[in-house]
Amino acid sequence: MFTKNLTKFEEIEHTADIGILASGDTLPELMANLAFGMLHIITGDIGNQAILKRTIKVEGPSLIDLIVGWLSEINYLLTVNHFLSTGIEVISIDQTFGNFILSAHLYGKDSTPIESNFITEIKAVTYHKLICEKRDNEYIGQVIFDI
Amino acid sequence: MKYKNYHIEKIHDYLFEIPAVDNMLVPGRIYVTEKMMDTIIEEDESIQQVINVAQLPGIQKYSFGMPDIHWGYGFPIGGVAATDYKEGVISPGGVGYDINCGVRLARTDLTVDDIKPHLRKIIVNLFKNIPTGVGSSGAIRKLGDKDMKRLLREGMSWAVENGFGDSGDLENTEEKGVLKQAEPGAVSQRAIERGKPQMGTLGSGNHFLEVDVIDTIYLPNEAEILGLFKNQIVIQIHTGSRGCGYQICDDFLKILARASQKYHISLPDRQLACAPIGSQEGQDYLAAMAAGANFAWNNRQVIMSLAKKTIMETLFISPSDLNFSLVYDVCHNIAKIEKHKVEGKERKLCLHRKGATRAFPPKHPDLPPKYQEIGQPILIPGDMGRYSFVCVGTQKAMEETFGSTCHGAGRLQSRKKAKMMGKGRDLFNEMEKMGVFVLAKGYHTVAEEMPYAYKDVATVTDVMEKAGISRKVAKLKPIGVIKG
Repeated sequence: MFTKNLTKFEEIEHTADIGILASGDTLPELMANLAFGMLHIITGDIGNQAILKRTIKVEGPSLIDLIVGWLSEINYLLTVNHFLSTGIEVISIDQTFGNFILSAHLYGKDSTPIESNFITEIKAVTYHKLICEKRDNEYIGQVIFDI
Repeated sequence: MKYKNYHIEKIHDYLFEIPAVDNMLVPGRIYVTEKMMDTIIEEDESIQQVINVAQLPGIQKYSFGMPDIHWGYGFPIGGVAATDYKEGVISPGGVGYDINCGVRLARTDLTVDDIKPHLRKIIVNLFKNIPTGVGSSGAIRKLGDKDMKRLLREGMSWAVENGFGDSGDLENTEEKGVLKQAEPGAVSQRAIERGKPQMGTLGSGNHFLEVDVIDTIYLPNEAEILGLFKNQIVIQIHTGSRGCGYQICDDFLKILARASQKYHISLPDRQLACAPIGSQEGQDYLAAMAAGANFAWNNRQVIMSLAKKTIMETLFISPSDLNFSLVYDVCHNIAKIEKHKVEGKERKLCLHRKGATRAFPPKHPDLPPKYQEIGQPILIPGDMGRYSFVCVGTQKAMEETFGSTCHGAGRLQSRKKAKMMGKGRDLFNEMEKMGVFVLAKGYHTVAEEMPYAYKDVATVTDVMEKAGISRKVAKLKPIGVIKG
C-alpha cells in the first residue's frame, strides 16, 4: 500500500490554476502519488488514519484518459461521499482490447470540507499539458487542475 | 509584423489580426494594445489557443480574443467563437468547466453613509448566511431529485417560485434565466448529486459576493435607466453552476472526444473535443450544458435573495426602505444559439463565449423593454481591492464580435506566487487599510485573490471602449467582500 510521500510530488505553477508533477518507480506508484498530490492541494495535511476501505475500478482508452478518470474518481469520492483516501493499493493496471483498466483499494476516512478545513476546491482534472511517460527508471506524470 | 513566432497584423491601436494560415479556417482577432500583446505573448500560449480555435469546423468570421485573454483549457479565457448551426461544431472547451459562471448586480436605495456604521455586521451576517469556500453547502435544504430536475429544465423560475426573489428578476437576467434546450435526462446522476447540496453557495477560487459603492458615473442617462447613482450601495455576485456544471463538462469531454474521432474531426488540442451541433452527441451536450446553465442562474438568484434578507434583517429596514432589485445578470462561460448577420445574411450560429460577456446593442429584441434605449448591461468585475465596471453593449459589438466583450481582469500572478507573497503578512488587515472589509474561509484564498495578483481591469474595459465594443457607465469600488 502507498501512503503520502512529499518527496514524490510537487506543485507546479499555472497562471489561473495549479498542477502537480509526480513520479513513481512503477506505474501504480505514479498513480498513487498523483492522487496524493491532488489531495495535498485540496486538504494540505491528509493524515494517515484509515478506518474505511473502498474498492474502485476506472477505465480509459489511453493512459492519459486513465489518469483523468482515476483522479476525477478520487475527487468525486471526496466531494460527494466525503471519503478522503489516506492509503492507496493499486491492485492492477491492465490493458485489454485497447482499454486501460485500473483497480485499486482505497483506505481512508470520512472527511467533510468543513471538518477538515479543505483549502482548495478542484473543479476538474484537465487534459491540458497532461504528461505520463517513463524517463530512465521512473514514471513521470504531470496534471493541471481547474480550480 | 512578427511577434516571436507569430505573424500578427495591426488593424488599429486596439485590434490585431492573425492571418489564416495552415489549418486555420478563419483569421484570429485579438482586442489588445501593442503593449498588452507583448505581455500576452511573453506570459502564456493563449495566442496559440486562438489559432487552434480557428480550426474548428464551421467557425465563422474570426476566432476572437478579448483584452483579458489568458491561457485556458482548449479555448483561451476571453475567447469567442461562432460556429454555423448546420455545418459547425459545439465544444465544451468553448464553455469551460464552470458552465454559466457569471455575474449579477443588484441595486439598493442605500448610500455609503447609510451603511458605513453597520458594514462589519452586514459582512459578518452575509458570511454566516451564504456558504462560501471549498465544498460549501447547506444554504438551503438539500435538494431532491424532483427539485433538481425541475430547476435544470425550467431555469431561474424555480427559485422565484420557491420564494427566492420575484418574477421581475427574470426579466433582468440574460435569456430570462433559462436556456430552453435544457434536458435533465442528458445530465448524469453524478452531476445531479454534486449539485444537490450546493444550491445557494458561492464556492471558492475567484468567486465572491461584494458590497460595492458607485464611485464614478460616466454616462448619467444610462446610469439613471439602470437605477444607479453616485455613492449608492450595490451588491455584486460572481459564481456559477458549482459541482453540477463541473461534472457535466467532465462527462461530455469524454463523450465528445469519442465523437471527434467518430466524425473524423482533427483536433490540435484534446480540450477542444467537439461534435457537429446537429449530431446526437452535440445535441446531448447542448441539452446538458443548458441544464447546467439553468442551475447557475438559480444559484445566483438564491444567493441574491439570501443577501437581500440578510441586509434587511441586519439594518432592521423594510423592503421599501431597501428598494433592492436586480440590475442585470450576465453569463461569461456559455454556448448559446443566436442569430447574427454573416456577409449580410442572417445565420443561426452557436456562440461560444468562454470568459467573455454578451454585449447586445440598444433596440435588440432580446433585451428587456427598460434597457432597449441603452443596450445590454455588462458587468466586468475587477479584483477585490480596486474596482469593477458596469458597461453597455453597442451596435459595433454586434457587427464585429457577434455581440461580445470582455469579462474581467485576468490574473497577473499564479496562485502559487500570490500565496508566497502573502506569507507572513496580515492580508485581512492590509485589505481593511485599503477600505475593504474581507471575510473568507481560508487565508490561502485571500492570498491568492489579493489585488496584486490581478491585472488592472480598467485597462481591459478601456480597450473595449476605445474599440467601440462596449461603453463604460459606472465604476464600482468594493467596501465589503465575502469569499471562499
